[in-house]
Amino acid sequence: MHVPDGFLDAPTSLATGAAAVACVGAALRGARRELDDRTAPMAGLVAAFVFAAQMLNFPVGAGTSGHLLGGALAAALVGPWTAILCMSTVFLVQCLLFADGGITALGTNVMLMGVTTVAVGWLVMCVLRLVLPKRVGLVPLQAGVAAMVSVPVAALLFVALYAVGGTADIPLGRLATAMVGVHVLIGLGEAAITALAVASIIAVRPDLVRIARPLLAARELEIRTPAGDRDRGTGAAA
Amino acid sequence: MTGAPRRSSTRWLLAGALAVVVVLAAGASLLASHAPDGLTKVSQQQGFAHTGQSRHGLLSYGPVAGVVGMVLVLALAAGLARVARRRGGSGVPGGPSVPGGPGDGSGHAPRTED
Repeated sequence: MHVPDGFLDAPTSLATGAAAVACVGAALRGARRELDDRTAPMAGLVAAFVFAAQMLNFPVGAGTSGHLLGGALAAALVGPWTAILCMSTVFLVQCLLFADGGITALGTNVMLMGVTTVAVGWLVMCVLRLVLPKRVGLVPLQAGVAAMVSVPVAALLFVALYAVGGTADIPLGRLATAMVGVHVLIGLGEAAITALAVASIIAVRPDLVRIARPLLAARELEIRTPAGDRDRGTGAAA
Repeated sequence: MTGAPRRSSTRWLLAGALAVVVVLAAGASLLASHAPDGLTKVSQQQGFAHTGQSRHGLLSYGPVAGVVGMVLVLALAAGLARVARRRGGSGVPGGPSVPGGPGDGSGHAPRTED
């Protein structure tokens, strides 16, 4: 979904650029609360994974392809603020070195594929964590659903930006239908990759998955209390 | 600082993850579909593809450039994460600062959940 130079007019690109700068600034402050000795090394790896995975375009029907956006995945692993930093790094390198996405569209791309997918992904995951049973095993599913939702939402935001500052006069209803149609399919791929990646890390080190941490804290309490000092006998299967 | 077994396990996980990322960065471009992506395809169908300006990058996606870009992204993101942590010690207005603590205090591990 990398927007090239020229799709959006200058005022719109300036506005998204300013919004992106503000979001990255806020993320630099917010990430401080998310980063500790365990998660800090993850930030680099998550960004590197998203960059690598974005090169892997998969086919989505007749003559069209899509790739992972990765915002929901990054948010699940390192938390939303750090995820915004990771995603912005990816788009910066893609834009400057690979001419992938326009220079004037860098802010647009950070907002669409970075901030939006992170925010929507994190929000959906938090809601699902709240309403579903508190089980760590459900986290990959939640991340997958969040990823699925995040892609068409980003596509719709592109349509909204195009309505404001698109450089061609095209019917917006048709644009919205086409964008959502393709990106629901891409969202399925996004969901599969996200759920698989989260499940792999949950399998070995669930404590490194940010969204799973509150569930783990609850689980540790449940296990430790009967097995520890108090001799309750229930569940102490040692 | 966590206990010794935990740390080594983290190290192995990070090493394993890095290996996966390197393989992906090198191989992705070889396996990738060359069909236009979602937005490009829509812009062709809806008749505004011509408004997009394509340009040439310093690098184009291939196994070597993929790894180069990946390493750069990794270094930049890790650096940004460091900067974000450092700011905790240097008194950013509005945030809880660690009084007199070194910016990268290893024992300082806030675990706020949202």
